[in-house]
Amino acid sequence: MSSTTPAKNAAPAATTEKPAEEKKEPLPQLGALEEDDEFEEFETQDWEDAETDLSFLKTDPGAPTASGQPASDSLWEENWDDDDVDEDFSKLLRAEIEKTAAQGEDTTMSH
Amino acid sequence: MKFPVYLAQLASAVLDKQAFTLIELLQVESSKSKELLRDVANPSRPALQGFRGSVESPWDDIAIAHLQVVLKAEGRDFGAAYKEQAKLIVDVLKWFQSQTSWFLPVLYRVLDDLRELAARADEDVMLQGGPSKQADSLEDAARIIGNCFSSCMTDRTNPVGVSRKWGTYYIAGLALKCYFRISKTFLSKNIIRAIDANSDTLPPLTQYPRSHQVTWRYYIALLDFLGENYDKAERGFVSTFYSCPMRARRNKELALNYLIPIRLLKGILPSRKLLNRFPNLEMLYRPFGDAIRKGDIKEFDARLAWAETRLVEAGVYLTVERAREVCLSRLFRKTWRALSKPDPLTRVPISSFQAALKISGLDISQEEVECLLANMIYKGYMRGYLSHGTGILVLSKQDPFPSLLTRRDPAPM
Repeated sequence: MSSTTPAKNAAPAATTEKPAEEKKEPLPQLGALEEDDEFEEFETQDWEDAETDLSFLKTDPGAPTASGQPASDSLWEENWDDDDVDEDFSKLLRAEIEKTAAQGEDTTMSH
Repeated sequence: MKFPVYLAQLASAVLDKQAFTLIELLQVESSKSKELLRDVANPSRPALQGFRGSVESPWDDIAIAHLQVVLKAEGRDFGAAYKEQAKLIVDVLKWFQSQTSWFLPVLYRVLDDLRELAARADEDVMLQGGPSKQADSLEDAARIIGNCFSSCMTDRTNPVGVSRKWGTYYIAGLALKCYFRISKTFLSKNIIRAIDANSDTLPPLTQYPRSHQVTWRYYIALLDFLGENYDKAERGFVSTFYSCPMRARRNKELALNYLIPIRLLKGILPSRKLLNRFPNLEMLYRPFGDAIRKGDIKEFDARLAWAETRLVEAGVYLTVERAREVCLSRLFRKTWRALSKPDPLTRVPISSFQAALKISGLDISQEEVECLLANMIYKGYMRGYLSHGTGILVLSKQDPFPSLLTRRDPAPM
């Protein structure tokens, strides 16, 4: 690895990228936007709580509580970015860092 | 239905305060209006002049105007139909000043029709083009609706139970709908200011029918959104979304159209459960949510390009674009976490972030990476400082990536 020159290095990087793009399916087309974006007239003037989603609102994550830890609402996710380290990403990252470091050494040596 | 019969029904419904019958008699699209048009041999204004004075004023004039509206609408001359409906409402409004809340449902319907006719009149003018005519009916309708709004809000004679004040928010909502349609949202300020100035004399908003509350809150939230007042807009759309009945799907979807982008900025992502209920939104936003979760900046950029037209149409492109910073900050956090084994790292080489960006498909120079990091720190996504000389980012030991929920944008310089 440490002997990889910048020029050689460029090639494998490009090939690792390519398959990812190839296996990707074309993005689905988004349908046309509903033309009328006006808030619609309601069928009835009034309604009961039970007819709404208000039962979820008690736990809406909108307003953080005093502790800063908002309650969870099953309609929204706000504590998703904790903790689990993505092992694949970790490996890729370390490999890339090593590669760049090696590259750095190469360039310093060539100076 | 012959005209004298119509007049008699109208007069008796007014006398008995039969709001429902009046709605049937005065709506443009109703079976009674159709019967009227079918049975009146000569429905022109001059031919009907003889009926003036046969019932209590102004209901004779209102009846004549209504028949003109139906006639013109039938002939698809919406400009003329609009003008007749506007005349009708001038008479209705004069009479309404001495009435109580019983008449409100009727007023709502004739104003709905006014707005609809104005919209069609404007559409026709725009389709036909030509410099002679301007598409100004909706703006005119907003003015008339504004007069009705004032009459409701400033009712000083009736006791609160039967006050015209109960029409305030519904009619204010109608005016706002007009302003949004003609893209003159700044005119909404007049209505909002008037309500603020009279708020001591109005019943609290929460006592109004839910349909009035929700519509009003939606439009206020929309104005807040346009003013980039995101916290206030978020509260408004939250309230709208949760308070709408389940069956009002489209209205819920409209609230989410803004609420989801606003919340992406705070790292609050719509759950699968929520998106499952709204397939259009799921198709659009699930990819963004996934990209943010993974800190996959390449995917985020690809999706932004993919959805650009739609997001622009929906008026939320700039907001979603801003969520790119959230995605980027997640990538940096993920990088830091990956390198923080076994112990939390505080000195991270800038080149490590560069490497992370590279494996995410963004191959940029160390200077550019440094610039991105500086921006992240400035905007409160990260805590720490850059040591340019050593090429190192020194992260705060305490909470180097603060919660997105509490992050604040720096005040504009």
